[in-house]
Amino acid sequence: MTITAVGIGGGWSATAPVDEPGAGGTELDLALDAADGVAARALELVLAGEAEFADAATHEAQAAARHAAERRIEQRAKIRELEKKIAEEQANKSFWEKLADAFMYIGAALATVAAVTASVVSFGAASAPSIAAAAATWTAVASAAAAGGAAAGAVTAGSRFGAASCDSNAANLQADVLAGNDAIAATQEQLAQTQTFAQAVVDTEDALRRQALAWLRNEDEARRVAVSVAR
Amino acid sequence: MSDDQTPTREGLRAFAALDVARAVGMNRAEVRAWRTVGRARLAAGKAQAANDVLEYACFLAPDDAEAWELLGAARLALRRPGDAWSAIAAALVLEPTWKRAVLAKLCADADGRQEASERWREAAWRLAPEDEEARAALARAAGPEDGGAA
Repeated sequence: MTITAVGIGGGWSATAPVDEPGAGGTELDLALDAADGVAARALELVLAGEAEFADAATHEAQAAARHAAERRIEQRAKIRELEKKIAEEQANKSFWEKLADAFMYIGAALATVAAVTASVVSFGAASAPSIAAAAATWTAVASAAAAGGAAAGAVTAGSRFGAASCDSNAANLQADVLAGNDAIAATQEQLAQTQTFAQAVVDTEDALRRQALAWLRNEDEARRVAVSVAR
Repeated sequence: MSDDQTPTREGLRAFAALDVARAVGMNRAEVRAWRTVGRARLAAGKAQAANDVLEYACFLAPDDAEAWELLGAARLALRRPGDAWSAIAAALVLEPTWKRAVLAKLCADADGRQEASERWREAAWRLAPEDEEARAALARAAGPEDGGAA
C-alpha cells in the first residue's frame, strides 16, 4: 500500500485495516506493511478531527498561500539582499563571536576570570571597592554559569577578597591566591566543557544557516513547488 | 527536555531570529496558510506534496511546532523515519506534547529501535491528557500505559 491510498475523503482511519499482506508475501512485503502501519498511526494522530476540517478553510488557505507566493515574485530582490547579508555577516564573524552570540555569558565569564586573576596578582595595590566589585561580578557570572561546586568555591574566594582587603597579611594573601587559583582552574575546566557544548550550538546554527541559504537560493523553485501543490 | 536537546533549541531560536518570512514580505497569517495547505495535502494522502509545502512552512516559521509535527508525520508517511525524527525533535523541543512523543515513538519503531520506542511510549503517557477520548487515541497509537503490546 502506498500513502497515496490514504485519503480523508475515504474516511481513512488507522483502526481500519490497511492492505493485508499478500498471499505468500515476502519479508519485504511484511516490512512494507509494517511501515505503512507506522505511517497510518502517525497520520491518525496528527489529523485527528480532520474529518471536520472545513473545505472552505482549506480553499481560503490555498488562495492566501498562492496569492502570497505570487507576490513573492516581486520580492526577489529582497531575498537576494537577505542572502547576501547573511553570508556577509557569517563571513565576518569569528568563531568566538558566534560563540558569544549563542552564549552571551561566556564572554562575561572570560572577562571575569581575567578580572579575578588580575585582582589576585595585584592584590596589595588594588583598591577594596574594585575587588569587591569584581567579586560581585564573579558571583553573578558564576551563578549564571551554574558551575555547581566550582562556582560555590569561586564565590567564597571572591567574597573573601573583598572582606579581607583592609587587613590582609601574607598568610591570608597566600591562601587567597591559592583559593583563587583553584577557583580559576575549576572555572576554566567548566568553560572548556561549555565551549565544547557551545561548539555544538554553533555547528547547529551553521547547519541551519547553510540550509537556510540553500533554501533561499532555491526560493524560486520552492515557491514554484509550493504554488503547484496549493492549486 | 534533556540538556542534549538544548543545541536544537538554540539552533531553532537562531534560525527563527533570521526571520526569513518577514524578509520575503510574508506575515504570520500567510505562513500559517502554508501550514494549512500542507495539512490538507497530508489529509488528502499526498504525502510528498505535504512534505514539500511543510518544509517551506518550517523554513518560513522555524518556531512553528505544529508545522514541524506535520512535517514529521509526512516524512513518516514517506518512510523516511530519520528525516521524520529531525522534524519531530524540533517540534518536541519547541513544545513537548503526548502526540509528539508518540510520533517520536513511531520513528523509533520504524527504525527498529525498541529501547527508544519504549522510552517514548513512557514519555507519551507521562504527558497524557486527562480526557478519556485522547487517552484512548494515545493507547491506540502508542500502546497501553502499562507497556503491553501496541
